[in-house]
Amino acid sequence: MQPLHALLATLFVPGSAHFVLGRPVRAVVVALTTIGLFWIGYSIVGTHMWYHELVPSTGGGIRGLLFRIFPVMMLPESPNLGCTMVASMMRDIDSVEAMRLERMPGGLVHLGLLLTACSGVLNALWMCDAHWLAQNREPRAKIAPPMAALASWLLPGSGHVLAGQRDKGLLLGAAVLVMFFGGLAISGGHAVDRVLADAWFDGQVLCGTGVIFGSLVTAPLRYDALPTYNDLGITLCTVAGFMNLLVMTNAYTVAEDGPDSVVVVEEAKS
Amino acid sequence: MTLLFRIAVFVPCVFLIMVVYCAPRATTAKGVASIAARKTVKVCGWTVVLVAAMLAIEAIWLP
Repeated sequence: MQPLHALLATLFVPGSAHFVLGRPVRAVVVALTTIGLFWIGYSIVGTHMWYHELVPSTGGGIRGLLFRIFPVMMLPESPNLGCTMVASMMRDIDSVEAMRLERMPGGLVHLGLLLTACSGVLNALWMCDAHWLAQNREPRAKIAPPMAALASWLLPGSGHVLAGQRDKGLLLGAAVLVMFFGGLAISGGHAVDRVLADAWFDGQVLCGTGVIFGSLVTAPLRYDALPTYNDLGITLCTVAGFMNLLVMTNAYTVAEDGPDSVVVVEEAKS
Repeated sequence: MTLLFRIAVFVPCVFLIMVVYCAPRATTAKGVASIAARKTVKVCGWTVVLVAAMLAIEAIWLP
């Protein structure tokens, strides 16, 4: 199987490429963490998920039709494109009743939206894994590059630790988590709230630990008025998410090229 | 928001961002922190210059 084909197969049917590449157990894990999480989340929030699409896909025309078939405006779910497409096809987009339901949040909405969001991020990482497996390459570190990136998403810096750069991983993890939880503290715990700040959530979800904690623990808390520095907190948490994207990318590179590979770059520059 | 509060938030944030930004350039935490500290000073210096330039423009053209 060609790497690009493996990547595309995972994009549309999570786990299919892993199964073809002779990894049936991992294929099941991929399916559970993408299709499973998506449908648990979707069964909780239902069509309210579509209230958080970045660009309104309602209305007719070619644009509406394309968005309905390929709901790429639905971040961060869209990397799990197969599931999002099926949900989009099932969507009743034309009736007023359906539009009213989309605007109505229900119980456990933070949990449901977190699960659908995590399914998208995880499928992006599984796509990297399928691409890597299809290349048949041996990593120069103890861990495969996509697994290092996945570990860094779950706990910032852990990918570096597993790839052999222990102290650097701890520093990077501390940098991301201090930024994220600093933002959460400044905002009184309401920086991570997809219901109120959905576009910002798309960046925050790149920091797995923080967004899981924020969505499950602090977002459901009641409050009478928005905290004074809520905007600052939201910004810091989003920046922390994008910082973790850099950490994940670097963890992938370190695992791919080996823990000592960047020394050459450093020496060449100095 | 007081100036002291802004500085107290801005400088550590820039340092943390620079730690991640400079991560590929070194293999050890010490190396990363050293490069990040230099970058932080540079960015903060440029920020002061930009803020001063904006204040000067405001004072000259926007009375």
